[in-house]
Formats: sequence, C-alpha cells, structure tokens
Amino acid sequence: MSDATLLQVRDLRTHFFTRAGVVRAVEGVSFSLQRGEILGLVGESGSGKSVTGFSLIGLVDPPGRIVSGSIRFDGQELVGLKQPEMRRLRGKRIAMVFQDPAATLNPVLTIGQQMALAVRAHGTTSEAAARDLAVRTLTRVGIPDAAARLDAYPHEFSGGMRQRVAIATALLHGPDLIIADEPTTALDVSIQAQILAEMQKLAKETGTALVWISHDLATVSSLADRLLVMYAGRIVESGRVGQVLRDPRHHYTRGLLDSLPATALPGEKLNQIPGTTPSLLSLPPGCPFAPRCPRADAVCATDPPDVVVADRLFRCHHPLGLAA
Amino acid sequence: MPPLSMARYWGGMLGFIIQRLLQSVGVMLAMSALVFIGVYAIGNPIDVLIAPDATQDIRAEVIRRYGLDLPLWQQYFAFLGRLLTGDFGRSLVFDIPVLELVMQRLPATLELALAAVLIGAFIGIPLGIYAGYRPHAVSSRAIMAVSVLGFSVPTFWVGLLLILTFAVNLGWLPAGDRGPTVEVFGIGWSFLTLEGLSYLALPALNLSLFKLAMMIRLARAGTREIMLTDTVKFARAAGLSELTILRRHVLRLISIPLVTVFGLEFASTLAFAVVTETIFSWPGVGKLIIDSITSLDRPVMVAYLVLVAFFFVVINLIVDLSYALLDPRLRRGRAA
Amino acid sequence: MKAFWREYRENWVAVVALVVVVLVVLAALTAPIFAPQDPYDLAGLDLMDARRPPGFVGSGEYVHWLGTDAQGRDLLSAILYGLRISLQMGLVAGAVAMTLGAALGILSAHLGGWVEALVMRVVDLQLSFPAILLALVLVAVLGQGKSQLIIALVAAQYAYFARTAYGAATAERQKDYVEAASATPLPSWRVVLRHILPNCLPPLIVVGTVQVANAIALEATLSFLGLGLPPTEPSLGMLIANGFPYMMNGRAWISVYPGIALILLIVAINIVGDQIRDQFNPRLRR
Repeated sequence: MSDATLLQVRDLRTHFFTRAGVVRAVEGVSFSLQRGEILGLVGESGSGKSVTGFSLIGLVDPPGRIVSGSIRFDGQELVGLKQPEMRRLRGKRIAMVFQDPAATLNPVLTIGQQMALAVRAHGTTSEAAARDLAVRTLTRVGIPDAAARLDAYPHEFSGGMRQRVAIATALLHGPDLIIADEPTTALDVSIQAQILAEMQKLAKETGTALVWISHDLATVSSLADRLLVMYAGRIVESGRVGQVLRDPRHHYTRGLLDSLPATALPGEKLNQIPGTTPSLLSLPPGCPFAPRCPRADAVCATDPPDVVVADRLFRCHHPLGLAA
Repeated sequence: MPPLSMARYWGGMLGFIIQRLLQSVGVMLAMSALVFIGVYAIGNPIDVLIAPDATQDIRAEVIRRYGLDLPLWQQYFAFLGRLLTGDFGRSLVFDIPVLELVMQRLPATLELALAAVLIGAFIGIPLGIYAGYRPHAVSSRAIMAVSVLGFSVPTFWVGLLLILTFAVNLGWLPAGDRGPTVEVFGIGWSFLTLEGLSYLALPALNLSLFKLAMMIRLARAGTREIMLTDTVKFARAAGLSELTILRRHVLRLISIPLVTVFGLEFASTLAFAVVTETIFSWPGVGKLIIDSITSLDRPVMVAYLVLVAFFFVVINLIVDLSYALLDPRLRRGRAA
Repeated sequence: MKAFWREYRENWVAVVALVVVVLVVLAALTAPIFAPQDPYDLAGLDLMDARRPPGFVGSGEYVHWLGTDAQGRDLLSAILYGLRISLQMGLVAGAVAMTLGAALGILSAHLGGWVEALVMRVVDLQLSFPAILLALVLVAVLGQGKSQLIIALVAAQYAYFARTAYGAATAERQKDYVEAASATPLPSWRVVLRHILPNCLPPLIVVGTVQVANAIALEATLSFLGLGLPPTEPSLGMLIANGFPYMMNGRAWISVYPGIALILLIVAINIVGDQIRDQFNPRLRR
C-alpha cells in the first residue's frame, strides 16, 4: 500500500442475520481510496451501498455484522477493532454525514451543545475553546453569523443550513475520511448544487477523502473522481467517472445512464431498467443482474469474473463496448 | 435570541399561560360540580352535613343555614362560594373545621408521595434506559419482569409483603405509624432524621413500586425508539461514547414524555397513598379519607376530593408549562 | 386461529400463564365439589380450629392443607370460594365496562359532532384521574354491596374501553372501504356492525384481558380497605385483610395464601394479555 492510499477494502462481507434468513447486504466488496480522493458509490436502494458506508465506520446495527474481509485505514485494520478504539477514530479521523439533517440533529439540544459534545468526544476541551472551534467550522461551511446561531435549535435552521451544521460537525476534527450517505437527497435541488460545490471545495482544501453514497448518478458524477457501481451487494463496475459515464462496461450501468433525464432527448420516453431489485434473501447463483439484463444467457447462471482492465473493473460475462 | 424574538417568545408564553389557567379553572369547576352532584345530590345532603344523632332543632338550623331547601343550582353556587372561602364545614368525627384537619394531615401525604415519586424516577429511569439500551440482555429481561409485577400486583399486597419481610421477619424497619418528625416551618417532616427516614422507607417503597414500573416501561420504550434513530447514529459517528449518548441525547429526548407522566403520576400517587397509608398506618390524608368513608364523615370526603382535584389541576398546569420549557419546538410553535 | 395458537406457543411463559388461568378458573368453578368445607356454613365452623397452621388436622378430621383463619375456617376452602367471588366480580365488571365503553366509543366515533366531543372529553378527563379514587367515591356514595361494587368498578374502567374502541373506530372510519360502504344505501348501523365493530374487537379483547385483571385487583383493594363486599361474601381481598392483624405475630399464612392465589391469577392474566397484545400488534412482529 503506497503512502497515498488512505483506505483499502478487501472482500468485505456484511450480513444481516434476520429471522427470515441471512441477508447478504455486502458480498465481497473490494476497493481502495487515495488521500483527498472523492469516490462516488452508486446503486439503487438495497444495493448495499449504505451498509458499505456503515461498515467502514464500524456502525453496522445488529442483527448485521461484518462477517469477513478487511478494511485497512491508514495502515490500521478496522475489521475486528475493539469498540473503544473504533470510537476514538470516529469523528476524529473518519466522519459521517447522513441523509436527513432533520433526523440526525437532536431537536432538543442547541447546535452549540451538540457540536460541543462532538468536540469533547475527543479530548477535554474547555467550553470556550469548543464553542470557538464550532464557530470557526460553521463559518467555513458557509453559515453566516455563526457565533449568534450557536444557541439556536435545529428547527430554527432551514434544511440546507441544517445539513451544513451536520457537515461542520463532521469536519470539526479535520478527518481524513468523510462518508456522506446521500447527504443532499433530502434537500432542494438548488441547495443540493451549493452543498455539492462546497463539499468538493472543502475536500480539496483540507485533503479529506470523501465516499459519496448516492442513488443519483447525475449528482455523483458532477463531484466524484471515481465511481463504484453496486448491485445486490456487489460492485459491478468501477473506474474513473469520465470512463464509466462515457463508456460503461456493465449492462446495469448502461441502464442507469439511460434512465437519466439528461441523456434523453426532449419528449423522448425515459428508459427504465425492467424488473426490480432482487431480494437479497433468495439470490440465485450467478450474475444477480441476469434476470433484468437484456444480454443474459445461459453463461450468466455462473458467477461472472472480476475483469480488471487498467484502472477499471467490471463483473460481466458480456461486457459492453468490448468486441467479445 | 435577539431582543425582538425574545419579546415575542414571552408574549407567546404569557398567552399560553393564560389559556392554560382558564382551562384549569374550567376543569376545577367541572370537578366541583361532579363532587357536588356525587356527594350532595346523589347522597342525601342532610346526611352529609348533619350527624345522624342530631336533634330536630339542629337539623332545621343546618337545613336553613346551608339552604338545602333551595333549588339545586342555587345550592351549587352556595357550595362553590363556601369552597372559595375555604369553608368545608366541620368534621363530624373530629369536630374541628375540615380544612384545618386536612391541612394537618396533608404534609405527611405530600412527603410520602414525593418520596415515592422520587424513588420511582431515580431508580426507574436509569433501569428503563438500560433495559431499552440492551433489550435482549438477561438483566434487561429481569428489569422488565419487575416492571410487569409492579404493574399488575396490587399495592396493598406488596405492602403486606414488605411488612412481612422487612418488619416481621428481618426486623430491620418499622412498619407502622410515622415515628418522630422534625418541625420545620411549623410542619413535621420525617425525612430529616435517620429514624424518621426508617419509618418513611417502607411506605415510600411500597407506594413507589407502581411509579417505578411505569418509569421503567416508559424510559425503556423511549430509549429503544431513540437508539434506532439517526440522531444516535450521527452522535456515534461523531465519536461520542455510549454513556455520553445516553446521558446527553437519550435522557434529554425521553425527558419530555417522562416529565408529563411524572407530574400526572404525582397526582395519582396522592390517590394511591390511600392504600399505602392504610396498611402502614401513615397519618396522612389518605388514611383520613378511608376513616371518613367508614365513619360517614362526608364533609371530610368532599374536602378531600376537591383538594385532590385541585392538586391534579395545578400539577397538570405545571406539567404543561415545563413541557414548553423542555421542548424548544413547542416553545416556538406556541409563540408563533 | 391455528396460526395464532402456533405463535402463542412460542412463548413458554405465556403458555404457563394460560395454564394457570385455566386451572384457577376450573378450581373456582368446581370449588363446591372439591373444597373440603363450605366456608359460609357457619354451623360447620369450630373456633377451636381457629388460626391453626397448615397441615393441622382439625375437628372435621381432615387436613387443613393451608391452615385455618381466625374463625376456624379451612383456608383452602375459603380461598377457592374467594376465587369464585373475585373472578365473578372481575368478569362481570369487565364485561359490562367493555360493552358500555365499546358502545360509547364506537357511537361517538360514528356520530361525531358534539356527542363525540362530549363523550371523549369526559373519557379523557376520567382516564387522567386515578381509577381507585373514583371507585372509592362511588362506594362511599352508593354504599356497600355486590351491585354497588360492580357499578364502581365499571365506572372506573369503562373509559379505557371507550378510548380503545374510539381509536380503532376512527382509524377504521377513514379507510376507503368503510367510506364506500357508507355511500351505499345500507343503513348506517349495518356499516357499524359489519365493518367497524369487528375491527375494534382485537384491541378491545387485549384491553379486556388486562382490565379483568385490573378489576380483580381493584376489587381486592377495595375489599381489603373494608369498602368492598359485605363480610358474608369474602373475596380474596377480604381474606387477606382478615389475616392482616395476625401477620405481626407469626401467623402470616392467613394472609399469605389468599394473597398468593390472587397474585397468581392477576399476573397470569396479565401475561396472557401481554402476549395477545404482542401478537395483535403488527409493529412488533419481526
């Protein structure tokens, strides 16, 4: 692992042991992340992208747990790490931003109180110093008059401002990695764009790496350096954003691109991927996308291999754009 | 808060307080009407006010004095007027003004009820939070079993068991009477001396069991729900320790419903004290009401009922106000 | 029904509780056959047998398995007969309160308007008011006796049923099929009977189970305080009260055994009720 590599995930498996059976939410995911790099993690709901994010920060809720694999963060193995040690990393070196800021912030504590708790989670800091750090960080994420806003409650902020507060909380300790789980999905489109631009700027300024989880290919591609496309708990395709968008290899990625409004001509019907996401409880052997795939044939009943070409990866028996 | 919104906030609060005060007066009126109908109109009002062995002259005197020959609505207003001036009549058994009698007994009950509610809260809430935090642990199941028992087993039976265990078999604690009290502000209190506390212990524990069960259940349900929210996940992601999350986030969030219940329970504790006071011969108003029911001392019954209703309304009011203080969302919602 | 029972069987505590309830009810029903003595037959009592410990063989020349009380009554017999009375009071009061409460709740949900406002206001006020106090007042005003006690218990409990039925009925009323049924020329009482009532039943049954236990407990409490049934019909609460004075001097069994019977019954009914509630509650299903 070179010095520039911040995160190396190998064959990660996170399963949920429910009454109905074992849900293999993440099934053999591998990827790596450079310092300061922005990685877009794309997939439909239930594809395992959020569980991947929670696995990274060690917050998979029971009945789920990481069953095997390795997550090396800056040379340290995170899988099997004791909770107290994991806790020292969380917020300090790995932070997370969630989808709905209205649900993440505690409605009965002021912004200042909540941020002070996050500051003091990593070392004893005086009240004044904690507030000072909070004000500076809030100002950095573009909250005007931050000192005065510190004593306000979450409901006194707009949705976009609330998400900035959440982002500021994640940035407090200058983490090496921020996992952002659909952080703009709950926001208005105009505010989405602002937040995206600012996150990109902040990441570049501070050298913080970002894992940006989203179901929205369009948003991610405007922000990320590299894309991971997940389907049914597996990575089906990855590569540089430009490559993947221009020249997808996997039929699922193709389907996602075709269903984007931007690629359709005005008046043209949007394409949809036929069928629905499979139940992870009863996944048939072979390629999980086969039942919905236009190119599926008998071969697809066997597991497709990981094909690595240069810095791209895809798992398909019948990749697109390659003369097979 | 900038000055303008501060003014609006207090303005809103004032309106809210006035509205709640009016509501409370309404409830008090309704309660007094119910008590009036219950004791004066359904029961024979002459029995209420006159000892059965009174002479004909006294009977006629009292009927005239209390206007029992007047129409019902006029009687009700007269009754209300007497209530407002604190005239509840004289106790037939003790032959002193009822108000004086009740006020003598009230501190003992208040002390007992307060001790019970405090025990319930300070033991029940931590236990409930723990049971909600680790719902599947064996210890949590044990806590819940205690809570189920506390809910379903009648108070008087628990009282008997407490006496049997701690007073009769072990001989650790006294099981009757109030023991010595210390006078502060002209009122005797038990909790100021160790011996007084030993007399208070069993009845307070007995009375607290139901509250304990309820606090456990509420705190557990609240904690379970909150532990699944993104608020807790976000706090964890920020590296907060589990203890900090429970103490600062969860406790604060569940405190809102708990305060309501705490308040309402205090009122019902006053009522349930009836049972505990009878078992432990605790000289409070609860024992007084039972004695007055068995001896048909109805002026005392009326006074007790009006008093409990009054407490009830006042506590409701306090709960509503503290609600507004605890939940900033509500504060603004009402101020706006 | 079969599926319901299969799920019920998964919780062995609930199964044990159900068995206890069934056994206690059977014991109460068959008390006149199996009880060694008729505790109300004063002629059969001998004061020589009074306050004897369990296992004592008295003048009746049979073993008093649970000892005797202050009147020389065989405690086992007294408990069996006491159970009869306690159960009877609990069931009658529960049934009346359920019928009355359900009718009030469904009607106010169905009629709406001022009926709804008035009934539910009163119900809410009463729910926030301690039931035991209401029962105390009623007993005080009405005097003692079986029917008076039942009135007091019903008055203390109907509000729970009214609230539950009202909640279920309003939820049901807003569903499409009820609205559709209301739009047809069917008389509205048929809509209530055919559609609303059946959907109110599960929550009412759950509340009903617990309330029967509560009624038994409340009756016992009132009887213990000396405000319940007349001494000629001793329920468990009165048996316990009768033994209370002897507790201090080592004759605890006179109170303890009736108490155990009472607790067994109440706790078992509560556990059964909790289990039924959990099974009816789709949110708790995993």
